[in-house]
Amino acid sequence: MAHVQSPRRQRRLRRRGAVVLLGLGAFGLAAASAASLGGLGATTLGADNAAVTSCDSDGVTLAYTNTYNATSGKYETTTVTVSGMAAACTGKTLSITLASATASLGSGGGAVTGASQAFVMTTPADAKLVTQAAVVITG
Amino acid sequence: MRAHRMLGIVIAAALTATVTTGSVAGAAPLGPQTSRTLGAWIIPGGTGAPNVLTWSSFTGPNNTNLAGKALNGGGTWIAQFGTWKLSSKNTANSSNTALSNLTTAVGTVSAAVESTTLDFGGNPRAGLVALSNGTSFLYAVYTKTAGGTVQLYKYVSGVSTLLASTTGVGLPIVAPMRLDATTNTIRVWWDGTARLSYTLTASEVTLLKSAGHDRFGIIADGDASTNFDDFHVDQ
Repeated sequence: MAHVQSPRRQRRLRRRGAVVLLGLGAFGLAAASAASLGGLGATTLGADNAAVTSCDSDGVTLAYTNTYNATSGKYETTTVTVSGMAAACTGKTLSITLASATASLGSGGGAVTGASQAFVMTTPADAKLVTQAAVVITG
Repeated sequence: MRAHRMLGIVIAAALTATVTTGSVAGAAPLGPQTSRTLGAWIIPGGTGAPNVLTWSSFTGPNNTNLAGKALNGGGTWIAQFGTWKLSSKNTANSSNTALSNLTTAVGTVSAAVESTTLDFGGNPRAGLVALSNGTSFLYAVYTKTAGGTVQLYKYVSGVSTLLASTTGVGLPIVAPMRLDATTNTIRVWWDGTARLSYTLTASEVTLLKSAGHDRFGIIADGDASTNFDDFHVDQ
């Protein structure tokens, strides 16, 4: 027996179908937009964790060598001597950044070879402006 | 009924597409990382560098008379007894005049003066001036006698009095000299080494550390051959 739907019900179903198709169209558009980025071929992502330990638990001490620069008429910090480094830090890489309260002024560093070591600043800092130093040892 | 079936197919297709799209962001483990060590510190504090009160690199046209000329770091040159000019080598040198000196006021009696001296083959007797008011001052000079000699004098009422001396300091052609009057103990460095130390007497402090004795500079005592460069006064 043929099932006859009322015209009103048929119109309602057509409207629902149109809404779904519109939604699918939008999805397709979004998918097309994402595909247009191109080059995103990798589909794997990994995350893991590992212990980060400190090679020196009691800190280090700094001493500065300041040299007069006759061109600028200012003293520049040209070498920073780091002392009190633990033996576990030997062989690792040390980085020093000299800074004021608002800006980085100079940096230097190198491989750690002993408990006390002088590091040449590859970018000398205006010695008078230095208010703090950041020392990082990694490796 | 047909419309219902079509609607169901469309929704199922959309869900499948969504699930497929979602699998793109699925994570996969990369494996274990190696353990790392790290030390990081923020250390507050300054470098202890002196504050440069004024300075001069002695650059300019050859034979420029320096009297009344401005320094790079502020202030003006005051020539006493002799004439001071720029050389073609961008240095300063004096006429051959006894106690010829070139100073600048820095506004304090607690400062140190430093300059590089260049011996161009003469018989040097040249150095630095501190705590001058034009009529009395301290000065340190280097000579070649006795393997190199550094002497500290005070000049008061037209008379120079030797306060301290040392010999055997070497005969470098180019060397920095520093005369430190930041405290009542006056110290002299020559060629990077502390050579002399002299503590002012109470009367000398009263005379030389009083207001107006704020001029620091260079001196060439009957010496027209020594040249000066890289002048600065620090505090």
